[in-house]
Amino acid sequence: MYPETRSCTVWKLLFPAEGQPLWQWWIFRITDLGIWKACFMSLRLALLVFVTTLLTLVTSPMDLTDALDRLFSFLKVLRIPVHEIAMMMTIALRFIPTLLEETDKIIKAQISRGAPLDRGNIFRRMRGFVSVLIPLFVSAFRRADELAQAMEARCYRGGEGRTRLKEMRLSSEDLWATALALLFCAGTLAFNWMPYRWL
Amino acid sequence: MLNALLIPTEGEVLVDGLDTRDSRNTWAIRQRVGMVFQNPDNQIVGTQVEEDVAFGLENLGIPRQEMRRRVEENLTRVGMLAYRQHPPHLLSGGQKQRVAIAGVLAMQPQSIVLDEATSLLDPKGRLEVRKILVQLHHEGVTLILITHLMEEALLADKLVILNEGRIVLSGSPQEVFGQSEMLRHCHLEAPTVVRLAQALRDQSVALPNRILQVEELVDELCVLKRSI
Amino acid sequence: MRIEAKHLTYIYGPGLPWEKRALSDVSFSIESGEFIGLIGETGSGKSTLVQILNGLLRPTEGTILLDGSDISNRKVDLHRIRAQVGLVFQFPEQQLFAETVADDVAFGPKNLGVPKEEIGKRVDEALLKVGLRPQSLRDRSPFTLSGGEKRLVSIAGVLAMRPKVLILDEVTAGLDPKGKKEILARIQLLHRVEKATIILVSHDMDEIALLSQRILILKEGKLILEGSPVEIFTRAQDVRSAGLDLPTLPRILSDLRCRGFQLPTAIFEVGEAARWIRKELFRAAD
Ligand SMILES: Nc1ncnc2c1ncn2[C@@H]1O[C@H](COP(=O)(O)OP(=O)(O)OP(=O)(O)O)[C@@H](O)[C@H]1O
Ligand SMILES: [Mg+2]
Repeated sequence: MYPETRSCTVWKLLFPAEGQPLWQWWIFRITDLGIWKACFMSLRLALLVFVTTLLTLVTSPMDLTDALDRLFSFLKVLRIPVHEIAMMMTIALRFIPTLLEETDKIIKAQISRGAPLDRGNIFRRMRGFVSVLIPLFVSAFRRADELAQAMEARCYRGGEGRTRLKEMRLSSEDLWATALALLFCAGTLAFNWMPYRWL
Repeated sequence: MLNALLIPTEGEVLVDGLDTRDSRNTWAIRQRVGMVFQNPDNQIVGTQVEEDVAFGLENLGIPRQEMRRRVEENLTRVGMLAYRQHPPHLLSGGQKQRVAIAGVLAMQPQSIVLDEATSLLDPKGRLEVRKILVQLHHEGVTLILITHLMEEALLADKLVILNEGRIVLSGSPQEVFGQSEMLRHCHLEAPTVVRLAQALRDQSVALPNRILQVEELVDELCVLKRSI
Repeated sequence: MRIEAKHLTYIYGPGLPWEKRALSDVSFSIESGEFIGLIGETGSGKSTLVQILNGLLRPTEGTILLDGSDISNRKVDLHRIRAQVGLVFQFPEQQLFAETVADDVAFGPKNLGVPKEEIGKRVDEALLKVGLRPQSLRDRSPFTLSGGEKRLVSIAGVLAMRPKVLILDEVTAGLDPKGKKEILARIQLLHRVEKATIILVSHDMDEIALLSQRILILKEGKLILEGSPVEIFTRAQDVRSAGLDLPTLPRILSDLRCRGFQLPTAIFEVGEAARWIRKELFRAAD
């Protein structure tokens, strides 16, 4: 399990708000409700991680943004630039690996110039971070500039009159999946209203 | 400036008879003159190779069927069809530039401007891209190559040398590389083969003036050796 | 400074599914004041090797001795190493960040804890070493300089730490011919005048052949060939099998050799090559 999940659960376990105390030492107290809540919390977090991982594993980020573009296109009536936002997300996704690589390189370069990125007090470290952040921004702006030029040179002029390579069509599987998801949500809500004692 | 990204302060640029100063022509001109830029990372838009090649076509509003056909055709032309589903950041520099070229080709431009498109590549990547360029030239695509590399300039039919914003030399590579004085003035140097041929001529070895490629020089020297 | 590398191995992400052996069992030594050319095709491990020498990466296995003392030992202060072995990264101008050229060049020595009065002196000295005039440049923003100048300033930023060894990773990449020539001339001066030990990593064989005294060739993380430019480029077959090309002149000469000319291949100067070819032509006539 992920370390964040674990520490969060431990917190719930050691500092419960209510319930019958089972064991107590100094400020730590373990109660029945505390144990229940801790289990619940860890399950919830595990589920969250599981579902998002599943989503990113089975759906490409590009498909996701395309879907958002389509799904929210009705907002265009309200003059919300849906296409532009989706395009921004696509570009962000495309550049994340590039920028990560670049960050790694800049950090290495500044460390090799003795930048206090891994030692010294907080002020020294801050100065070290400035030496990484500024080059990163400069390069990100330059990239943005060049990319805009490259996009314009390829006749990009916003969402109007664009066709798409990838076709998106609602199939029966999609309907089933949606129905299942809705059922699941309804179930979760129903569970939430039930008091713990019923279980 | 050739594809209306910049508009001249004075004078005019005509592309296929269309004046770039007229903003109504902008899109028609950009479709006619494709551009490939220096940094392979900063011109790929899609998160997948085929999506990137389709980007220009999407902008032109090409129907999907036609788009698929053109994407496939042009990825084949640059030898990248096998990578159509790959994310671009996992490709080598040369491969990225080939994808960029395919993206421009798919828009069916009449000419392509390559702005130092090989200068950030390693020798292998450079060779890959040059091979594609030679092949495109044979297919009849007009190419305008901006480069610092004299070996690359040799590929051209016609050379134009700019210095401080002025055209100082223009002509065939033979003519231009013959002008060593003027080249030195622009801090340039003819390719090694040309200089070697020149040095041999200076030592009264009878070589013709037109030698540009290594193979030509070798062939000529072999002929000479036999005749002496 | 004498560098001795013994059985260096480096593995990226050991134990992970994408584990990558970037160097395996590399041993060599570099004498003080030598000019070394380090070449190899893309992914052969050149950058990994220089980062190990600079103390940025710890070798997975093997040892490095700098003047006899082992720096792969965990107790060694790596910051001291980084000052002694200066590393200029590929496209170093991307690391410029300060408001003025002087501040940027001063970053290294400041981090080393050099006293204030001395820093100014070191900045000027470093700028002069790369052929830039401190008076006119000191207070300019590094972002307003030309590409070649930016690169020189970032090299000065490493020189200001007064390293005994200077490593340059593809220092001429992406520059125009004039900028290239200038930088190479400066590096040659550093070597001749300052007696600096220099390790030049490059894909440009002409550059390597002209400048280096000794060449190391890496292939797939192994050191496969080592020798003077003449020795190396006489062995055209081996160089090509490492995925590398010969410099332009040796390439022409080796083509001529294949066609029956009797010529040495390891010549790096046009005039000399012309003399050899002429002699060979007229030898055949006699
Ligand atoms: N941070 C990293 N994580 C995982 N693998 C890496 C990392 N950096 C480099 N590698 C791998 O290690 C090998 C050697 O890389 P290195 O950068 O040293 O090669 P190089 O000779 O410098 O190549 P180039 O000429 O392209 O600069 C390559 O196969 C590369 O993919
Ligand atoms: Mg490298």
